[in-house]
Amino acid sequence: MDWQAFFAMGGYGTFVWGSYAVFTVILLIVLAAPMVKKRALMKELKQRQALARRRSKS
Amino acid sequence: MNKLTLWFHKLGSPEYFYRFSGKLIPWLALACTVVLGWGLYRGLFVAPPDYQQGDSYRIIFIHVPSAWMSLFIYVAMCVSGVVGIVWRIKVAEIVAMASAPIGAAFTAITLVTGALWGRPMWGSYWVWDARLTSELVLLFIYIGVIGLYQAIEDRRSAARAASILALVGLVNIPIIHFSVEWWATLHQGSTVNLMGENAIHPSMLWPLLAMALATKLFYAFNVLQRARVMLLDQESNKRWAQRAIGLDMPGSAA
Amino acid sequence: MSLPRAVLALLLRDLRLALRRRSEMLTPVLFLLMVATLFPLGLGPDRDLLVSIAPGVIWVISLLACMLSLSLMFYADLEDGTLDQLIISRWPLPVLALAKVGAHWLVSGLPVVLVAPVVAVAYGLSSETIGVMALSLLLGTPILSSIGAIGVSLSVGLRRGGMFLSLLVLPLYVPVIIFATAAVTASLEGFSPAASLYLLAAMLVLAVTTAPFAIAAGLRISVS
Repeated sequence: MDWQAFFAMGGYGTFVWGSYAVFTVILLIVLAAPMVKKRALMKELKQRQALARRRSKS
Repeated sequence: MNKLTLWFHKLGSPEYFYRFSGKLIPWLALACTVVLGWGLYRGLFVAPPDYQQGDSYRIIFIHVPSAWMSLFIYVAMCVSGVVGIVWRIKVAEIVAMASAPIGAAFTAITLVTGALWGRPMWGSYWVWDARLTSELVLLFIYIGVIGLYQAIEDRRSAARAASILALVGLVNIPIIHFSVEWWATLHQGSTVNLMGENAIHPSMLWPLLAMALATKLFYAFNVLQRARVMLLDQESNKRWAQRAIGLDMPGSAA
Repeated sequence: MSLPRAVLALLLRDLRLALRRRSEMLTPVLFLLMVATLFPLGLGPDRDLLVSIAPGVIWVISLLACMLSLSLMFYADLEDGTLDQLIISRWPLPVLALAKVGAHWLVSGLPVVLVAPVVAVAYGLSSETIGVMALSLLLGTPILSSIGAIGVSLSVGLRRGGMFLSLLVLPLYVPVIIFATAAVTASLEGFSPAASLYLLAAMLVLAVTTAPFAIAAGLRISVS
């Protein structure tokens, strides 16, 4: 397999790989967003739990 | 009640939905990876260059499935939104609102990859072509739906208001599409027939279909994941949600 | 009180309120006149150019002028509790919403329809084209009011609803501007504007009959 030709895409390399890069980057952001949100939510809920426990003890 | 409707009713319960989707997600992720890998391999390595467009046509393997998804997700969002509005099912409202950002992302991908394809094919990144213009309007509608959902304080009325906006958009989308098509033929510009008259060759069709399936699996996977997080957020004072993530707060509702 | 009288009462109340705040009523018209003056200043007084851009320019400005006054449509009613009264009244809310839309059109749409021909004269359009322009505005501005009212009903509870409104409403205005300017351009180039005007009329019927239900649903959500 000729890798150089593969990356050149018959002279359209910038456009083809640019498109695939955009596709990958946007979908990775879409993929990561709920994970980041869940982590933040868990942190917040743990803090709330600690607070609630302290309150119920005192 | 038959089994399917019973299952549907159960799915409306946040707790059941959370557990069920948790079991489904790994399989969807696996299926998406496999189909995506196969589609990309066939599309980028195996499929031969097009006799007219050379290798540049390989953009269709992401451009066309994304364009399909931009409409598919919109319809899915509206169906879920209607279920949410009519039967006041929280899970349906959440699924509708979880769909919107994914749909907007696919619409954006469609526009950018379309521009990158247009540059070598038409000689410019953007032409005021009917399909491009209506896709752009669709992106604006998505942004409006997301914006309205974010702007309203109460999560449930936000979801219902945004669903109504999405429905108004759904009625309008065919009209917008028709009007823009009409407008583009009036201003006879550079309407290029991309696919030509002849049918697409199987060596290009299969990777295209695989990518279409992969993007649908990606949507299913991602929308469930988003819905789960949103559900936890909104139900965080309920017992089931705390049990599900291993927390225990005194004084929570059952 | 019967339903037609209730609708009439609501309509007259809105008109009376608008007449008491005349500056608000004049804003769309003044906006149209002023922005229409800016275009020749920016593009130069070339007559042919002005004639060719006139349909689009006048329509876009009219659309924005109608949108400017939209955000006020339900705002005062929400503040003073009139909206709650409308919702709990025994009359069907969609019909009352239609009355509100009608009042809005009379206050901000109709003046624009009346003033736009003056602007068209200044841009050098022929009298026949000006007639088509006026007709397209007459058919199109009620659509703008009814679609706009959906956007207002959904965003009326928001603190910065006004800014937000354009984001919700503008994409839905696309068909109106396309068919309306297509009619005027057709007349400008010597073709028959009938097709576009009929389509515009069909959209008017669709908007007036379906939008009130969406407005009612939106108001119920915003007020709850």
